Amino acid sequence: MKALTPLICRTWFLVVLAGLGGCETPFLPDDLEEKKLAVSATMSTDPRLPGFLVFVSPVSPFGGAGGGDLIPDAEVLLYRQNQYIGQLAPGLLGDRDVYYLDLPPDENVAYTLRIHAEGFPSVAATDQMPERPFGRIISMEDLVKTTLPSQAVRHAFRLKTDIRDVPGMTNYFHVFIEAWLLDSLDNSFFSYCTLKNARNHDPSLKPYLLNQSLLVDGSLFDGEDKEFEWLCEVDVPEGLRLTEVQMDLRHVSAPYYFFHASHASQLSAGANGVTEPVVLYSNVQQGTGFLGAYQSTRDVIPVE
Amino acid sequence: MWSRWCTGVVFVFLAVIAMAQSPLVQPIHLSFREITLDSALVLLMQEEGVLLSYSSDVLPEKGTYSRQYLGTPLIEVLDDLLEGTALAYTFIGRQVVIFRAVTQPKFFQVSGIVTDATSGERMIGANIYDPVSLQGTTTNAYGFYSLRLPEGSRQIVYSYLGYRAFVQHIHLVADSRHDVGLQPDGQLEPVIVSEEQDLSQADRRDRMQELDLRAMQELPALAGEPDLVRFSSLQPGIVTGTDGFGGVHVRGGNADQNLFLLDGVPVYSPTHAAGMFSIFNSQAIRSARLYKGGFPARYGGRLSSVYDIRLKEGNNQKLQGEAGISMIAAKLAIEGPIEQEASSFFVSARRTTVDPWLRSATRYVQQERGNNGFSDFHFYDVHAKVNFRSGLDHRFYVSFYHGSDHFHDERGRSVLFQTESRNDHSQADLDWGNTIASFRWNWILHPRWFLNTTIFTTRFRFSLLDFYEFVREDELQRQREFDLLSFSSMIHDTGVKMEGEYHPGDFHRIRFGGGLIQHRFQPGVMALDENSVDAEVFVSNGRVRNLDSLPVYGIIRSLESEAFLEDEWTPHPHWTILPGLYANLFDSQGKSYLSLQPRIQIMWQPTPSVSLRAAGSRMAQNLHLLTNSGLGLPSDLWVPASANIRPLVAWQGEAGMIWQHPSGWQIEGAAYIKQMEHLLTWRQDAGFLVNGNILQGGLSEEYWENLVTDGRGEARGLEISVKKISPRYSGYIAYSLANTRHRFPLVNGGRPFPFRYDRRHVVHITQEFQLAPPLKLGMVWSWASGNPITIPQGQFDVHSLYFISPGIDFSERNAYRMKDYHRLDLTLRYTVQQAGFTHTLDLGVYNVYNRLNPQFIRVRENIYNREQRDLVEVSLLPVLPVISYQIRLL
Repeated sequence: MKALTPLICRTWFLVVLAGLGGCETPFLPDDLEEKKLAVSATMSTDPRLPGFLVFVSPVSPFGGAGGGDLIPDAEVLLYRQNQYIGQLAPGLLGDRDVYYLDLPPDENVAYTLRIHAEGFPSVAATDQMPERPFGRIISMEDLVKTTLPSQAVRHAFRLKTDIRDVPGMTNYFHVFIEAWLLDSLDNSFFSYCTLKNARNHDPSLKPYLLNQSLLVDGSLFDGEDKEFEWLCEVDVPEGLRLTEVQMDLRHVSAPYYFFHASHASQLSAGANGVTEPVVLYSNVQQGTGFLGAYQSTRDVIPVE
Repeated sequence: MWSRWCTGVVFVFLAVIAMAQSPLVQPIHLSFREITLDSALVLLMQEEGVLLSYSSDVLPEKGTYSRQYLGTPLIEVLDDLLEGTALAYTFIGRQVVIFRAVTQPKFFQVSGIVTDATSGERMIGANIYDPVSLQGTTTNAYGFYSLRLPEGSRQIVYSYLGYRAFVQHIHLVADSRHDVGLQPDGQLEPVIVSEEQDLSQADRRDRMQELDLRAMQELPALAGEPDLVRFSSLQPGIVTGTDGFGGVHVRGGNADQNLFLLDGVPVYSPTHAAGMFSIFNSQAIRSARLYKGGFPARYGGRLSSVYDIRLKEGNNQKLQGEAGISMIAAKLAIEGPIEQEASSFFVSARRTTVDPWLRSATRYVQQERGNNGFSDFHFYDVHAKVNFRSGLDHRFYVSFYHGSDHFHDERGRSVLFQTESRNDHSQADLDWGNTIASFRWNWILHPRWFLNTTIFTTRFRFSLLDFYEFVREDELQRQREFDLLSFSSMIHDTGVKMEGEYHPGDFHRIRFGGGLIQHRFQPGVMALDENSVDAEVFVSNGRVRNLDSLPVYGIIRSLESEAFLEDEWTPHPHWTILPGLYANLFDSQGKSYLSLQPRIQIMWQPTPSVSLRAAGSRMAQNLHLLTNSGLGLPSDLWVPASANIRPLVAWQGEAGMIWQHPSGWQIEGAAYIKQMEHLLTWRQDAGFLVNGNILQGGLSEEYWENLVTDGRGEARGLEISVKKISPRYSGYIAYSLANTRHRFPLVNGGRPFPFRYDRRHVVHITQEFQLAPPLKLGMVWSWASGNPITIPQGQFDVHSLYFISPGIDFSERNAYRMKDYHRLDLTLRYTVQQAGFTHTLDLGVYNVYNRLNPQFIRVRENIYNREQRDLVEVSLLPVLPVISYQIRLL
């Protein structure tokens, strides 16, 4: 009995451990869906960009390292109110394969992209350009500079802005706060400010990509002029100086907003199998991703 | 001469007249004192020459007569003598025939209370039956019965499963009260339906809904802890998530569509440990009824099922106690009289015992994985009840329940990666529980009238703290990330309701009632990260603090009033019709919803062994449970219907049959269809936390309403069960075939998809063998189709001008299924009585062949390379021993 007791104790403990540790076995479904294209496409009147800018990539099997490589030889066709306009030209944005067309899209006109890539079902997406937004920077306050161990200077400040929402229709916005920097040779660069108050208190705001920008749901303040106060933070590297802050206020289409809002939710929720998954909104038929449109307004405030 | 002839003519004429005169008017000259009716009639024949024909058997035996008739017509004499008897007379020729009159009998009400003779507990659903008139009824939830019977000598049979039938002989001449105590039959085996026991419709219907608590105690149970809700899932049409996680889903309904009533008071979260166990301590349950369809009008507020659970009242004759310990919990119950046969108390308490093991085991597991930390979990619950009577007609009850769960998990890891140190630390604390209190008053105000009034309060509260911090540091820089989530919710009801019964006679049993409930909701969510302006207020040095300074969110109030009327009409011994109407008015945030919910059930018993039924119900539900998990976690949020969110509504129709044979075989089958409207779910692009945004004041400002969407569902199914009971064996097989689909315009592209708990096929087999006493063997085998699930099937990059970020392509909603679920459990029970105690020892195995049934699927990431991921099925309950011991004071 004495000899048996330690054995029972150990066995018992292992049984409890096995029960508590849980068991995981790979889940390998047999019939995953066929190949699919992913599209990231925007149309805008942004002077820095072509009117139409399209990235095309395959949807890769889940679990690998990142998405698939961009497809350089797809056929990307543009239609304006179902009338063929032309084919987007292939190009490079940095080292990324992209398709573009230098044609400013008209407001409230439906544009359709049709994309064909070998080995994939053809996809199509339609959107239309919203009107130009109205917004301005009211003031910049409480600028505090802190030198970091890396000798970069952290600039924290409050930025008051105003967005006018056109009544009678549902409007969506995407706001970027850019910190423009100059080096000793007066070369200019910009960096996106981190918006620290993005998660607090206002349900109309949804932070996007590590709080580098904010999606704004205008339906929650329909027809009003709404004042926002952004708590901004930017780290200025040694040798550069902050000269001005710009607000890039985008009036975005509903597909643009819904895709990016769902993307933000998905990035936050992940895919853990316990919670219901956040499925990305998509207006790409037979594929995934988005075609979104926006018009921008910029306002600038110099930094004293 | 002429005068003589006239006289003769007159004489003949008079004689003819006399001869032709009806005997009714024959004058009677008779006098007698204190003689029986039989003797009086004999005198009438002998003295007056009346021709009488009758049988002495029909004459009353008792009673004497004294009369003096002076030329009274015979008809008046007969009326006088036969008055007050059940006799009539007629003339056949010149003879007077006296016979027993066929008159409409009088009916009287027999009523009373049926109790357990050894404890005084009121018996719910006891059967009261008159085998001659074929009239029967059952006791209500408070042990009261009322039965209308014809006058005269009657033989009433009182019976209840597990008790000896009691036959009461009465001579019914007026409304009468008969309180009966039934003796337990001393057997532990199930009762066999015999030829002599002609089940009434009422008895058959009640047996359909009654959960067999004896079988619940004796069949194999997880961790040796018998559980009512887990046991109920062996019935066809009821599924749970794997091993109880995810709540109970009845005929395609969601977990929030089940109305759990504890002594008539609603319970919002009836589970411990995320669904593995219910809050109902098996020691404390007196009876439990489950309605999956054919809902009586007295129930409302949920769509899919009603669990009507009644707690013990306490033995009012002697002190009793019971204690037990299983692998998960220890429990104790004490009951006894406060005043002999007039008042009693019952108290039971239960608490988990695994805490020390859990902490040690999880600390060991974490260390093996290179982490610091441990997990801790415990739950407890307390039931208490006191009852006392005032006279024979008034009884008062005070009931109390409190239960709580607590889960804690913390873990941390420090690693040195090249010249960089990486430290991560996480902490989670969950607390949830229910508190219920009620006061009830039963009043028998007339043999035909019964009233119950209840004042109650029920509260469910939940709080969650989830914190994660990651610090990466080298010589040059320090990067810190953290996430803090604090979530709390509470729903608190206060109400009063009254239920009554009226037995008007003519085969009706009318139930009526009404109530008023105030609901209070208080939700709150806060999420922070290192970029939040409030971050340093709540998190510093890797610890969470100042939680008491979290914003307090406004209380949302709603008012609900209800009324119902139902009739149990038995126009014929083989037919029972139950029409009813439940009405509900719900006011919340300036919006009112009036709901009329008709109910109908028809039962036909063409032969003593066969019963057929058909039923239709409309149900509505004013409260929604917003869930973001498939585990039925208490973090799910109760929200009221509002101006933009309508109440749930369902129509359900079903048809079924039962066949019972005296040899112990029973076959039951049913088919149903259910249409559901205004189902609620999160919009497909909305997460529970809205990507970290606070739902501050969300309910009152209706922001949350923008995140949910409305849809519909349809459930169809077929259920079959076969049961065999014999003295040494009972077996049960249940099979269900079901299909439940949902459709939401803003989810899955508006295309229909399977319900998350749409298990197409489910089979349960239970067996109980009485081996050589005192040994009993129990077996349960279950098999079910895998639960539907949405999986990530692809990934891609989302490109913008300056950023590349990952995107996941999910499958169609619930397009895939996890592995089929199946499991075998065995238990050997040893019972012995010794020195006034009953000892019971259970030894067994849960999940005998170690089937790794998946609870959920998760994405497993490589901690050093988060881009490498795969999908894994997580199973939590492998093969487990079952050991439990109970001791009961007889």
